[in-house]
Amino acid sequence: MNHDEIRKLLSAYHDGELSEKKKKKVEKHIKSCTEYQKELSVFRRIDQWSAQIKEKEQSSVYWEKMLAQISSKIDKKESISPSKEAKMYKDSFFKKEKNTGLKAIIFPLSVTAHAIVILMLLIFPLLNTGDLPEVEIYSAFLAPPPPPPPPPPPPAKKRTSSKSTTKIKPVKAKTDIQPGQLVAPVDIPDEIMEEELTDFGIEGGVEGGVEGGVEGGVLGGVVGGVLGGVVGEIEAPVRVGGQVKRPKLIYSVPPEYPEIARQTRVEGVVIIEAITDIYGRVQSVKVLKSVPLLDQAAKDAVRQWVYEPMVINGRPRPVIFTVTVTFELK
Amino acid sequence: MKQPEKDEEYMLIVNAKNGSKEAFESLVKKYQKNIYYLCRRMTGAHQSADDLSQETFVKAYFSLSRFKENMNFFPWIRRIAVNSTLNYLKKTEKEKPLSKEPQINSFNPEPHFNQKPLDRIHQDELDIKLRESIQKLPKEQKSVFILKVFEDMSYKEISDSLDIPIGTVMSRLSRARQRLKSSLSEFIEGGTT
Repeated sequence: MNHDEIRKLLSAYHDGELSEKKKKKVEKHIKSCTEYQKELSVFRRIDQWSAQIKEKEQSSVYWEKMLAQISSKIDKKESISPSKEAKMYKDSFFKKEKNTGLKAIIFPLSVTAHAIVILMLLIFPLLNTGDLPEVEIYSAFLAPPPPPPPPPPPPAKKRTSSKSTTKIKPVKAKTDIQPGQLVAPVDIPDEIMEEELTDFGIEGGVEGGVEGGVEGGVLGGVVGGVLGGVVGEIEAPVRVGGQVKRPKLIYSVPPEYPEIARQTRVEGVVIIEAITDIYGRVQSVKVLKSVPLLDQAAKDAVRQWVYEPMVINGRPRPVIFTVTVTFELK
Repeated sequence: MKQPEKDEEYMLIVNAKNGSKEAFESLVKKYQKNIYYLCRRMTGAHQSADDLSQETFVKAYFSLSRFKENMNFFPWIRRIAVNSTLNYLKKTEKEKPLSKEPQINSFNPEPHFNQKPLDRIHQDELDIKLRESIQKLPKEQKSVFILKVFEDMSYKEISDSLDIPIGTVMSRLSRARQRLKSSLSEFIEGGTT
């Protein structure tokens, strides 16, 4: 047995609790080991000192009081559980299970009920998401502009035969032919010209024009229309992409950085879908990618922007395209 | 314990078991001091010792039916007391680990070494330091140490009373003594006995 193993036995040796065999071994070791001799004397002294510790003596009154308290506690407890039987088994760990049959039925029910409640708690918040930020939709309630007036018909074509009539005119003058007066022809014409009723064109008219048209009108217009109108209904806006090029920005207003966003240092990019009218003015906006604090400012700015009108097949068309507004703090 | 005394106690127990409160009260009278001081040494405080010793007797009264006449009454009730105290210490350990120390620590004893018959002051210092060191022991070591040194129980009795093997009693006691040795080193280095 080595030195350290003996150390563990010293305390038991001190108490005289070792078996004879071990005791002899320890004794043998101690004889040659001053360290353990010292340790044993320390143990002895600790025991000695401990024995000298005086706990504060309590007066006889205290002991009587304690006795009285104990019996009053016993009385109190007895009055709560008056039956001797109940007292006997009071501390027993094994109590007869009651209503085991009922519990067997209730337990699975209770488990399912709990499971349902937990599932409800999980599912309900998933279904009940908070309201999405409302997207303002600006529907353009615009009456279609009146159609343009048709152009006037072109002046009547000068026929080859009419040339001869003009040539004849001086002749007619000689013959005192008054315009508008029916006069018997002097000589028999070679052929009888068919009378043209539509021969009432206007200077500046357009081929294919309509009677009652206005100068500057558009082909296909309606009589009584307004100059500058568009033929037919307003056509559906075209989406930028593919052949349709993005219109050029003519006039823009920088967005105002909202004060609250500036203070909270919110930055971000708001993507807006803008629809221009045929004149290139932004008609309506819709937020596609929202940064809650910045949306309104972006929308307000973009709504004032003006783009080059998009003309497709000779007709101005509204355009849908996206605008990216970047908010950055310096 | 002498035979007539033992017989008397036996009669008291039998009577108490049959529901005589007076018999039980005389048992309490007989052992309340031992139990109180045991609890007091274990907890180091009057109030908890008071509560615990009362609790011990109340518990004992209601478990009398489980007490067998051939057993000795004192070891049985002492066992109840030790268990209650250990439970109490376990609870308080969780609640406030070593909270009442500073009061004792503030009294900082300057060791007087070479004074051989320890003078009174030195004795007081030692007393305080020793109490403090015992209170600071882990509760397992403390209970074993107190049962051995103050109650003068054998290892076998301690192991029965705490429901631990004798080997554990031995090792806990050994560790308790090592700890006390190191915490009392300032007093030990001074003189030799």
